[in-house]
Order: sequence, then C-alpha cells, then structure tokens
Amino acid sequence: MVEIVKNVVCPFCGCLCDDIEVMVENNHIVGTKNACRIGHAKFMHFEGAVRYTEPLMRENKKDDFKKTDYETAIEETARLLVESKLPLMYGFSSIDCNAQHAAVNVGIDVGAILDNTASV
Amino acid sequence: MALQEVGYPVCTLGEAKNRSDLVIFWGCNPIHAHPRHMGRYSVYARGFFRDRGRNDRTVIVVDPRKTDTTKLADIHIQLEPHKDYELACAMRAALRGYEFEVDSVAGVPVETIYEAMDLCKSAQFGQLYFGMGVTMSKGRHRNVDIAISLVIDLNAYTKFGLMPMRGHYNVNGFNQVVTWLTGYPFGVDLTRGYPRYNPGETCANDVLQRGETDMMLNIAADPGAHFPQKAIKHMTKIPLVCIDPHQTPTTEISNIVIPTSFSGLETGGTAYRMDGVPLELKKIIDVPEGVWTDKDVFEYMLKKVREML
Repeated sequence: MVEIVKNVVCPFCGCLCDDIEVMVENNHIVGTKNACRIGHAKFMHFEGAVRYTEPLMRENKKDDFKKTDYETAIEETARLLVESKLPLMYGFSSIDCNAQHAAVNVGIDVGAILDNTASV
Repeated sequence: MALQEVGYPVCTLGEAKNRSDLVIFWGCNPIHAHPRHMGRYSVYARGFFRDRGRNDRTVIVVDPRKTDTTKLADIHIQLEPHKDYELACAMRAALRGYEFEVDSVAGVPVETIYEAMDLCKSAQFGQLYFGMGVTMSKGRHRNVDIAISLVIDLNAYTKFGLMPMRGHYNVNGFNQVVTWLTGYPFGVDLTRGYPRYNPGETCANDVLQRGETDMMLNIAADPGAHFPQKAIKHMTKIPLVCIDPHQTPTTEISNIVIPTSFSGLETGGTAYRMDGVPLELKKIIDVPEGVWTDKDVFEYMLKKVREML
C-alpha cells in the first residue's frame, strides 16, 4: 500500500521547496512528485552510496575500522575534544537547528572553533 | 562576512516572486545547482504583480562561462575570471553617470555595462542572487561587499535586494543558531573561553592549513572532498571524528565514524531557507533500528563532556 505524504520540505539545497509529495511503502520511499532531480535523488537515496548503521572506530588511520557501539564512540569523541588544545568543529549545514543547538553547546563547553560551510 | 560591514538589504523569496521584475544571477548557475529556484521563486514563477511570469521579468546573468543559465538570460555579462570586483566598481560608476575612458572593463564592453545599469535603474523591484562564483573568486568576501554597495546605490533609484544562493539546506540555520548562542555567525573561536571572530584566522581552512588544530570533529559535511590539499593533508595527521550517515572521502581518513539518521527524512526539525524563513522538516519514514539521531548524539556527547571537565 503506497501512502502519499504531502507538503514535505526537501532537505537538499537552500531553496527548501515545501511542496514535495513523497510516496512511502513499507517504510521505504518509492517515489516523489514535484522534486527536482537532486532532491529526488536525496529522497530516493540511490546514489550508490554506502550507508553506515553502526559506529566505527580505529586507533591508526591505516588500520581497518572495527564496529563499536554509540556510547563508546561518543565517549571517545568527548575525550578527544576535552583533551585537545584547539579542537575544530566543522560542518553543521546539513543537520537541523535542534541538533545544531546541542552541538554548539558542546563547542562552547570544550572551547572549540566552530565553523560551517559558509566560510569555505 | 561582508554582510556585517555594510549591511544587507533583504526580502523573502515570496516577495521576490510577487514583485521582482529584474533578476541578476551573479556567479551562480541555478539551472543546475538550485533547479527549482527559477521556476518557483525568481524567474518563471507567476507572482501577484508579475502574473505573466518570465515575460514580466528581465534576467541578467554575470558569469565568465557560458552555462545553461546564461542561455536563458536577456543579457549575459561575460566577465573575465576573478574580475568581479572591477566589474561591480564599474557598474557603480556607470550608475552614477561617470564617463569611462576605456572601451571595456573586466572584459565587458562599457556599452553592455551602461545597458545593464539602465535596465536596473528603470526596474520597479530588482533582485540580485549571488553564488560561489562571487564568494570564491579573487577578493572573496570583498566581492560581496562591493555587490552590497552596488545594491545600496541602486536603492537610490528603485527597490533592490540581494540574496546568497545557499548550497546545503540549513547553512543559514547554523548561522542563526551560532549567532544566537555566541554572537558571531561562523568561524567562532571559543578556545579562550569567550567568543572571538576573525575570518582569515579562525575559520576551518585557516586553522587546518596552518596546521594549528590538533583534533577535528566533522559534522555532516565532506571536507575530504572539498577542502584544499594542504588542509586535507593536515586532517590526515590529526584525530578526526566524522558524524555522517554515508561513506565519504572524509570518513576514509577518519578515526571514528558515527552514523546518524537523515534530518528531513527520518527525523523532523527546523531548517532556515536561504532568505531566512524557518521551515519545519517532516519525518517521513522511521530511523533504521539502532541508529541515533544527530540530536541524541550531541546531547549524549554534551553529557559526557560535562562529566570529564
């Protein structure tokens, strides 16, 4: 059974088109209406990309990744941030504002440099 | 950056759709980068006072190359690369009625400049959209600075606004959030315990290229694919944590990868459109089992950081 969700905001570019119709079947997006090609690709998620579903960690960048759990990966990240003298937090442009709020609070607490894609 | 130095005449995209009869695209290619921008808001859209859509609007494109956008333009100002600043200065001079002693400025014949400025002056409501072609060519934010000055000059004759063409969907949102929390829009240095802001010193590329930063947390971006070689070289030497659902060139040089859900597909939230209008993102499908959202990750990280400090 295909369910149609109307007036979806497209999370791709700064236009944020808010008239997208998305067809959903069994928790999978099967089609879109009104979206442009780039937006459609973001919804359909068929760019041949590899999606991770578990956190990965490695000590040395030349080693292979080992799977781990969220608690360990985040705790290790927090330790790196706290121990670092000049941590840099970069990106932020493709997450929503609530997540940005929490991330900026982390940056304020550890004394980081915060920067997003607007500066590139 | 330039916005803080000379101010920023803005309007919403809705207003541009309903009123603008002259559109300038400077250093951007919306046909490819923002495919629905021209149709929904800027050129072909039928607005309240512009009910004939494209026929009611004049389109000027400033671009050193021929692109699919320039093909649709009424005037294509084909300047030489990196001469945006010169051209904008010449436009301001033409606007004020100065006579040029040369035949061309920045590779553009002066007649074309005069013609473009006459069109701008006689428009009822002009709108200048600028993209990476302006901010990334020589002069960087100074180009935007002079473009804003041009728009301010034009406001002596008619109504004119300008708007940056945002690439990611929530660039503006981060600028709003970080300005609310620290007072500066990006490139904020909090290492001294208070916010400092000095682009050229405190932006991501500056600290990476000078090799100053000793740890990097990358959030839903791909600097490994887009930053200059020198910056990436430093990224390979320091501990790098990547919060991103996908395998990217950046995850390949990371020590820790924390995948999260997709905002706007698997989680809701708020995002700011390029004109500063906040919109609600919808949750359409469920998050894959066991995957955390960005918000969960940062809230847990905040808790852990506060325990360690």
